[in-house]
Amino acid sequence: MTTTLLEVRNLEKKFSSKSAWFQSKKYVHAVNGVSLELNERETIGIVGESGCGKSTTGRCVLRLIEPTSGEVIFQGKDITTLSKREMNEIRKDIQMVFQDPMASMNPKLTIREILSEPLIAHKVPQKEREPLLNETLRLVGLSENHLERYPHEMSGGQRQRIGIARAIILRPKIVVLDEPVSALDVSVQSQILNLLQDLQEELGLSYILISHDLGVVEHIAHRVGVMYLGEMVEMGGKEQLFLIRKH
Amino acid sequence: MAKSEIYKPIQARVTSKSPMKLRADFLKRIFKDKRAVVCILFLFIVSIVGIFAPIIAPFDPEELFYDSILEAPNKEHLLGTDAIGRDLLSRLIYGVRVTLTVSLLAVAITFFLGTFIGLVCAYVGGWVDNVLMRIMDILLALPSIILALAIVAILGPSLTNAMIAVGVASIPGFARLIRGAALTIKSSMFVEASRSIGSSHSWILRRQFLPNVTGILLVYTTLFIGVAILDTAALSFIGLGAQPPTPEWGTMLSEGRNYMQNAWWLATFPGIAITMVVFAVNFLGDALRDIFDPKSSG
Repeated sequence: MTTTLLEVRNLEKKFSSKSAWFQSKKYVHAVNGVSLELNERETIGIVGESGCGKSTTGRCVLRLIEPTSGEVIFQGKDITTLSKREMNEIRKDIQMVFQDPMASMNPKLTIREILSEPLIAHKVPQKEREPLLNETLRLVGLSENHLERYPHEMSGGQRQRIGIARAIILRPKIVVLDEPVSALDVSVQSQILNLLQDLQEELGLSYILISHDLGVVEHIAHRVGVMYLGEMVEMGGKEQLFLIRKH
Repeated sequence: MAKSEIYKPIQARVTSKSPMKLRADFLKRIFKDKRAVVCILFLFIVSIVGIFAPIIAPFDPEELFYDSILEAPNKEHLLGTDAIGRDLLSRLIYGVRVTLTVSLLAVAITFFLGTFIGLVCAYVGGWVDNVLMRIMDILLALPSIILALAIVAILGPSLTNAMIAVGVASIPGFARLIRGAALTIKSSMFVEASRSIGSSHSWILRRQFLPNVTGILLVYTTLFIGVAILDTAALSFIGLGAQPPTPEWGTMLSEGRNYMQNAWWLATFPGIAITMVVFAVNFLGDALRDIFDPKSSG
């Protein structure tokens, strides 16, 4: 039996545009009433054209952007109501992989420093850090001799592996993948996707995969949601969605 | 693709560079720039002269030679003597200590408070940013020397107060610079990544912001040293900084002004000293800017 790990109910995010004095504020409905359920060891793909609110949904789940309303229930708790401190505890279990690995890493830090950041943030004891670093690097197909490098000294694929390593080093339950392969060469894309699938198997991860590339979603997602203008217009099993296309 | 293939460590194509090596690279770039080398050498010599002033100076800066008052440069007093018979060269040499210490401390005040305010404004944003930046705007509306004058007027004329005044007066400009640089970093993806990881605010500021503003910090701190030397000397010149008989270059310039017509050396040598040090510091700042940001050269 599958257990629900994360439940998003009626998630809504409105961005207000700055207006002149005495003028009523204008709102942009970036996410409008999105609901989804993520089961253990499952990958949910969210697809849609650019600007439809997929990334905002992902960021709202992690509260990198505060949602306007709605609930995000993780382990029985609505995380949208948690304090910043409590939320930081939850972040250990929900991590994110970003689209552009180069931009998501501080160019002035070495890979060791970049990968140590989650360990320091969540106070992993010093003596456990080194084995974790090595083990995680091995999991993503890199070795210890990459630790002393800077991000610019690595190839795009290697950098995204580091991005993934950073997300899984704390052994989270959920990883939000925000266009994880769209900045990569086609030849590297499949390697990274396979790596993600293997990691899911090995570590029991659940993914929320945000992508505009249907091929990518078809490759690794179990269920797919289609977003259009901030709304989830369709949600269903992969086969159902790709065979009977409504949108 | 087979699982084993994915897990196989990828051999790096680029040779790795350790942080030590990167630092060495940076030093190499500085030493390639002739301007920077000459300035560093000059400032190094000036600092050495200041540190070893008691050994290098031929006389005590406050020793009076009653039989050689207002004497032009000669063999005994290489740069001449002043109106009460003190050796000008010795006073200039001891003056290095006062001038450099005061301006460096003033810059330290600017550096720490300016960086702190700039980073906090950029990072926290909202009303904190608004309030602090409006205060900075008000302070920026006044020329820094006028602001320094006002501060000294409140605190009273002394070298320490001049130092505080010069330091505080430069904070608004510095804070604005750092805020601008930090705002670009704030919107960068790696800061968002840090937030998604759950890193603390202090960690994000220390590890993500600071390393990325070091270049700007270094360049502008160097440039501010020049401003600080000039402002301290200016305050002393109008009698609000170092008080006689302290051998401070601005004070010496001010004292020499009264004898310009019959003892040119009294104002000329302190003037040259101030000019040369300020030039060296400014040139060094420019060189560092070119080294850190090759796009801005030319």
